[in-house]
Amino acid sequence: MQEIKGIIIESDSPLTLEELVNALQVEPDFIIELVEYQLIAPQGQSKQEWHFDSEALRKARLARNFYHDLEINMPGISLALELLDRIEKLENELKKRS
Amino acid sequence: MQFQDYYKTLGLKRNASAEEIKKSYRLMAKKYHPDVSKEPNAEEKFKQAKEAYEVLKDPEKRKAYDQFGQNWQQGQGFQPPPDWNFRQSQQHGHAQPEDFSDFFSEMFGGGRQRAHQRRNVRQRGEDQRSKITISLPEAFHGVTKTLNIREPQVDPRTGQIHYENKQLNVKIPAGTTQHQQIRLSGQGAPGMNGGPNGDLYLEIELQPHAHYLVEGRDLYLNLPITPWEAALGGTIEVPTLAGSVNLKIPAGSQSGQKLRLKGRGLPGKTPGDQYVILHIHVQEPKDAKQRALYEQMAQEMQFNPRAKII
Repeated sequence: MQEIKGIIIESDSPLTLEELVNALQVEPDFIIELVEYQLIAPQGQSKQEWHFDSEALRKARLARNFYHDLEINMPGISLALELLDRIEKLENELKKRS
Repeated sequence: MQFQDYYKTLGLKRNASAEEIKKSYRLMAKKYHPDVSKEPNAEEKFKQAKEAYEVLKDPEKRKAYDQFGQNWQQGQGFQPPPDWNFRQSQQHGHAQPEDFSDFFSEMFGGGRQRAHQRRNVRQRGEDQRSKITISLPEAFHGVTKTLNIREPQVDPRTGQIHYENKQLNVKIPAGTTQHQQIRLSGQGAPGMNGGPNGDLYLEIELQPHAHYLVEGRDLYLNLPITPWEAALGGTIEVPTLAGSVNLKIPAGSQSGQKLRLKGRGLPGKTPGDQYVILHIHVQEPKDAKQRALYEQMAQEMQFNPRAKII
């Protein structure tokens, strides 16, 4: 069987706005809103220059899931993502101490 | 394929109102949403609830589904009636084929792709995503994994959609981290009418390791040491993912103290570090001679670790 090489989405191999929109099957406006709420922070000034990394893709996917599945609005999503981050860090701290 | 009892999934009677359906779905979504839930089988339960809601919230789909009557049991073998022709151009949001049961896919699935197919438009295939679980040593060294995915295939004559299992051998480069996203170009859903294939995105899920804790590219290892190693210092052997190294412990080390092995974490442009957290373990005296040694220490050390708090 043919072996396929994966590309890690990093700062030197990021996604454009269009690619992020395709990856998540959302409208561009949804991504623009995420950026306006500072849930994700692309590199680049204008929308044409925007580049998104792994973390942005992951966060945008979580945001989309919460938006569609749980009907949470942007401020709610922002809060949920921040709390999830904090829980993950705390759980890691706990494991370090055990 | 197996029949899905959507009313049972959502814990509803067959005459449930639209409001009751929504309420029940919301309760289940909150409890089992795989991005937050710690419940066992959360993902499976959430997918079932979502699929049930997808059908029952839509009056057209619900009406079509209700035709089967009440006599079907969850999981019972099922064949669609020969005259079944449910077609709808409505999209299923961002759901992926693997999110749905065969029952749903056959009966209600593929709305989006069928719709495009009918319009005969050149269309890029949809991007797909999957999670891939790898061990920490695999993340460190890189690994080739076989991935099973369900891929939608469109029958060019009828425009009907069916799903085929596809196996992919994927090379994961060394130095991937938790939640990292990997893109496989052209491995998503096939394009329509000559359009290009979509991409497949993989999210790395690191298996918890028995000894190491991972934070980004950094590794943390709790290392037990003896009281005399802590007091006198010394060189001890410490495991790293690339093999054991000798680590110098300074005299007078304490429990909880962190020592850094630079560049011994997960590889990358800036490789991570390995932190070794010292834990002093005290051996219980096993005989009179050992007991005497401890007693001698108690006499001669004049050590009061509680001086500051009493």
